[in-house]
Amino acid sequence: MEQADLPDIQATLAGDGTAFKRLVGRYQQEIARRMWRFTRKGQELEELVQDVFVEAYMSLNSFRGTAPFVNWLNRIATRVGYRFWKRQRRQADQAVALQDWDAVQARADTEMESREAAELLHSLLAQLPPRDRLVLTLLYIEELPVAKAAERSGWSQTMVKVQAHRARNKLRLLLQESGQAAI
Amino acid sequence: MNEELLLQKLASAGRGDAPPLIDVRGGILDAIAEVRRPSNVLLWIFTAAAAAAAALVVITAMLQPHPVPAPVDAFSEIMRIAAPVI
Repeated sequence: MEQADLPDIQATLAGDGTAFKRLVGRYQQEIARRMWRFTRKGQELEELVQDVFVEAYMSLNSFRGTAPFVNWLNRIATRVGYRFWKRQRRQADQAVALQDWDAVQARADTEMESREAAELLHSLLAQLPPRDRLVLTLLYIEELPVAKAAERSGWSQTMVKVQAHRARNKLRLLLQESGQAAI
Repeated sequence: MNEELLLQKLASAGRGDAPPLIDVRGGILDAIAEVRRPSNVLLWIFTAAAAAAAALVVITAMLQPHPVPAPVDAFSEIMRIAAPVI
């Protein structure tokens, strides 16, 4: 934990709003990087980052200080992002049109700009239900080991492994359904 | 290409992708206050329930066949019982 975190956390708990603003300023970009996995829209990104800090504020007295503050924030961020996906899924109830994944796979073999690759990956994972999407995001985009992914998602390690297996299977089916997969 | 390789390739290629710069410090305290503020819906439910309870008491009192005796204080009540004995 950063040296300045603990005094700011204590001051926030004592009702000092500017101390909390300092915490927000210190970590908002880090949280924005996390939330960028959950949305590619600037407006939504800002709302999600704000939601993370609001939730952090409301449960700040449960922060025990045994692990870095940013780890605790990251867990909240994962929860907020997952809820956002679930809400989005319910609202849209979408049968997203399958893209031409053949072209995506061909594109993945070539040099790509990082933004383009991230957007392709985002739309590929958006085809999956939120649970599958979350586990693949944690394991492949965030490149977390299973234990860390479990900690971040609040699932057991077994659950993470099972979910990842299912998610990969669904992705394979999806690629096959698009008629392009050559596995 | 299998799905795992595709994921790895895209994730690796997208590693340098960064979000736009944001600053939520300005509105964060207002957002917190908004969350903490009791919802108007709850306030209306409480008001309606209180009004309904009051109306019920009035109607019940009006429908009583005999008027309810006025409450007496404890001392008068004791004296009423004790006076014949004394």
